[in-house]
Order: sequence, then structure tokens, then C-alpha cells
Amino acid sequence: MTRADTNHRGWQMALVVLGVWMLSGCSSVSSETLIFAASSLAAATDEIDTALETEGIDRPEWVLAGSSRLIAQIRDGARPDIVVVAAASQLLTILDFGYVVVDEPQIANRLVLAVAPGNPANVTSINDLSREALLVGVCAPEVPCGATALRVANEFGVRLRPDTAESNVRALAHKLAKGELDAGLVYAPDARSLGLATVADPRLETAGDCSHVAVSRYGIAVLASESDAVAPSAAVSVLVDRYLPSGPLTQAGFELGLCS
Amino acid sequence: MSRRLGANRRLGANGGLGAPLTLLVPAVIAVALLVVPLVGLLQRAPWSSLWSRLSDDAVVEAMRVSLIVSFSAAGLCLVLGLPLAWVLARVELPFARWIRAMVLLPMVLPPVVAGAALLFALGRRGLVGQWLDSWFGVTLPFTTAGTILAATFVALPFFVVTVESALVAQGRDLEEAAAVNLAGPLSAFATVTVPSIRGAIGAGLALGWARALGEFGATITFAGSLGGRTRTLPLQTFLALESDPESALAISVLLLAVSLGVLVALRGRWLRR
Repeated sequence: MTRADTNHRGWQMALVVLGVWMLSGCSSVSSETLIFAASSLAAATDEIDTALETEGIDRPEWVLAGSSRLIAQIRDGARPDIVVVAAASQLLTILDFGYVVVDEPQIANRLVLAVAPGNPANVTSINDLSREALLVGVCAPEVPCGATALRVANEFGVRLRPDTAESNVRALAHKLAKGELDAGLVYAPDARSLGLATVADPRLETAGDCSHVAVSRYGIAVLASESDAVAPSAAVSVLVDRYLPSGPLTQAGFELGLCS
Repeated sequence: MSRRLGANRRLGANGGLGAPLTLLVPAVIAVALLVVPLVGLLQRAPWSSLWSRLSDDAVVEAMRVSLIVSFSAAGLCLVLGLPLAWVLARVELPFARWIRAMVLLPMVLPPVVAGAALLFALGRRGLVGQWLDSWFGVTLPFTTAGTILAATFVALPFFVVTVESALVAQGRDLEEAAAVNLAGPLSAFATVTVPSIRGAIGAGLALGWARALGEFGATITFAGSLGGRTRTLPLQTFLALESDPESALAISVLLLAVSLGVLVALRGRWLRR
């Protein structure tokens, strides 16, 4: 076989492989339930997938990103079956796109003070977040976890001196886990899933109060079909109950009863 | 004989144009793939409020950080990359292929991986970083210096490749003759070699600068994101997409214009046929 023939065969193979890949890609995507979820839900997706698998339900396709980014993508034409965002008010802007807000379950999340492994900077309370010598990380105020952090700081008169303001709570939590930051405010499930050391500050204890400043109330919406739009509750709640089982969420550190 | 046959075939197939449809169609699709997103960006851009959005405090701050970072990275490319390009082009190195591969790696490495690598090496708990921290009290992540480092990491190969290929193309005869006649190799390098490849140095600087300006993945992974310190224009764009997409579009238009400007400045090297 000449070299040219070999080349020719190589290209044919590549085209066949590409074609098969594209076909398989198309068929598998269409059948899956697509869930757009706030990055903080990353702490629970594995548990949820496992729970679904034991019930014989196909695991959904998760798209995890900052809540505002997810909303923007829906406004630009994305149509996930379920949307979970870290601030319920963000859902108002997608009601015109065929989405119905779901009241149950009420997922809430709260901020905790996380520190580097071994707490080398000897952090004792959220007041330490204003210490110049510390490497402090928070979420950017543009995303829900950062907006909540800012509310907490304002409420308790703490002047935050962050060294980084991340747009993704997960990225922040990882930097704390690696010990690159001394302290930061992250969501409880992120701290739990990455095994972060946390420092208990009584001011962050919610004591069962949904309106506490450290609490973020999540919002859930479901894409309703034409017929569902009239009486959405039944079909919609089945979809949500199915894909957001409360057990794994609670286990991951979300607070389900707090705001209901 | 064979040459004439080749010429006949080229003429015969497509009346002299030499563009069979099977090549032309994918080529048009390729151009569309590259151009359509840019048209989409320009069509959505908030033209009427462009100026006010670009003069927003947060954006101006990001511009300042971006200018400091990109020019510092370009400077480091010149200071470190020019000697490296010369060594690669002129010195018989053992494992030369491996060294060259290492130098080129950041061009193909996903920037996020580069950022993670920098963090594991130079972070506070990193391989080298822990000594920097305990001996000198220097921590690079979350500082402007760290941002410059991340930008230099990704920009350096563009400069080195451009300059090295010019050095190889130039050959060593002129330099060796000058080294004999002048005070020595260093003097020959400075007075003969560098001036003769100044075009390539300029092109390498422009490419490296543009790459540093656009750097995102390595920066956000290694240096974090803080206004006025580490948040460059691409990071500001990313953040603005969360809350103020119009602002993100405005910055995108600016970065697109700058990128086009660099290409136009390089037209002599890249767009000439």
C-alpha cells in the first residue's frame, strides 16, 4: 500500500468515527432530563445521581454554573427541563419563556466560615475577614453567594478585605481546601463535600430562621408544556420530586425545612 | 513531462480556477464558523451606551490591571524569551527536542491546567511556593505579580517561536563573522543579530502581548479575581456576564477591536502573501 493510500484510509476512518460520534451524541442528549443548577448544587449531584440510580431512573444531565449565567442562557434560548438557582427572585425573568415556579421543595442554603486545613491563621470569627494579613476569599457580589456574604458583612459591621472575589462558589471552596486562602465564606454543602474546616460563629447560626441574613433561598422552575401551563402543579412536581429527592439534598448540607 | 502533466490536470479540472466544490464548500463553512460569532457579538453590542459602559469604574480598573499585566508580561517575554530563542536556535543542546516541546507546551495546554499547575508549583502550599512563603514571605497567588506570571506563562511560547524561527532562517554566518570582527559573541548578538531580526521581535512581542491581554483560564485559577489587583478585562467580562451582560458585550467589543488592531499591525507578516 502506498503512503497516499494509507493517508486516504486514515481520513475515511476519521470521517466514519466522527459521523458515529455525532449520531450517538444526538440520540443520547434528547432522551435525558436536562437540569440547569447553581454551582453550589455540585455538592449534591453525586448523591442525587446515586439515589436516582437505585430507583432505576436515568441520571439527568447536569449543567452547573453561576445562577445568573444560567438565567442568561435560558433567556438566550436554552430550554432545560428543570432550573435551580441560588436566589429565587432570579426566576421572575424567565417566566415568559414557558417556565413555572415550583414551591416545593424549598431548598435553602447558608453561609459558613471556612478556613484553610489546620486553620494556620487562627481564625475565630467573621471579624477575622477584615484582617489585612489574612488571605480572604469571598464570592463576587454579582453572584448570589457573594450578595449573601455582603449582606452578612453589612449586618454585623464587618469590613470585608477580600484577596479574591470569585464568581463561582465552587472555585472559592477549592482554593480554601488547597490552603491557598486562610478564610472565606462558602455555602455549608460546599464546605461539607470538600471536607473544609469550618469555624462556628454564632452570628452565622440560623436557628431555624429562614429570613436570617446568612440564608439564601433557592428557586426552582420547570419547563411546562402547553397543556401543563394550564394546570402545572401535578406534572411539574412529579418531575421535581423525581429529580431533586430531599434525602440526598439534606445529606449534602442543604436545609430543606428551613423556609417551608 | 511530469510537470506539464500536473499543470494540465490543474487547468483541466476546473477551468483554471483550481477550486473544486468539495474543497470550496467546507472552506466557506469554515469562514462562516469563524465570522458568524463575531457578527453576533457586534449585532448584540450596546452601541449607544458603549462609551458609558466602558468608562464605568470597574471596567476602567480592569483596563488598568490589564495594561499593567499585558505589558509586564510582554517585557518578561523580551527579557527571558530573547535569550531563550537564541539558545534554542544556536546552541547544540542535549535533549533539544524535549526542551523545545516544553517551551511550546503552554501554547496547546488548556489554560486552566496551566493555572492549576502554577498553583501547585507556586501557590502557598506549592512545591516552590512554600519556600517562597517561608523564606521570603512572598505569596504569588491573588497578587498582580501572580497575574503577570500567569500571563507570561501562556505568552512566552508565542514570542520564542516567532523569534527563534527568524534566527534559524537568518542563519549563523553573519553573526559568526561579526563575532570575529567585533568584541565577541555577546556584542555580535546585541549589535548585529538583534537589529537584523527586529521585525520578528516586534511581531513576537505583539503576539505575546495579545495573548497575555486575552489570558483568562490560568489567571482565574492561579491569581483569583479582585478588582484593581488581579481582575483583568477578560475576568471582568466573565463576571459581568453574571450580572450585566451589556457591560460584558461592551468589553468584548473593545477586546475584539484591540485584537484586530494587533492583526493589522502585523499585516506585513501574517496577511501578506
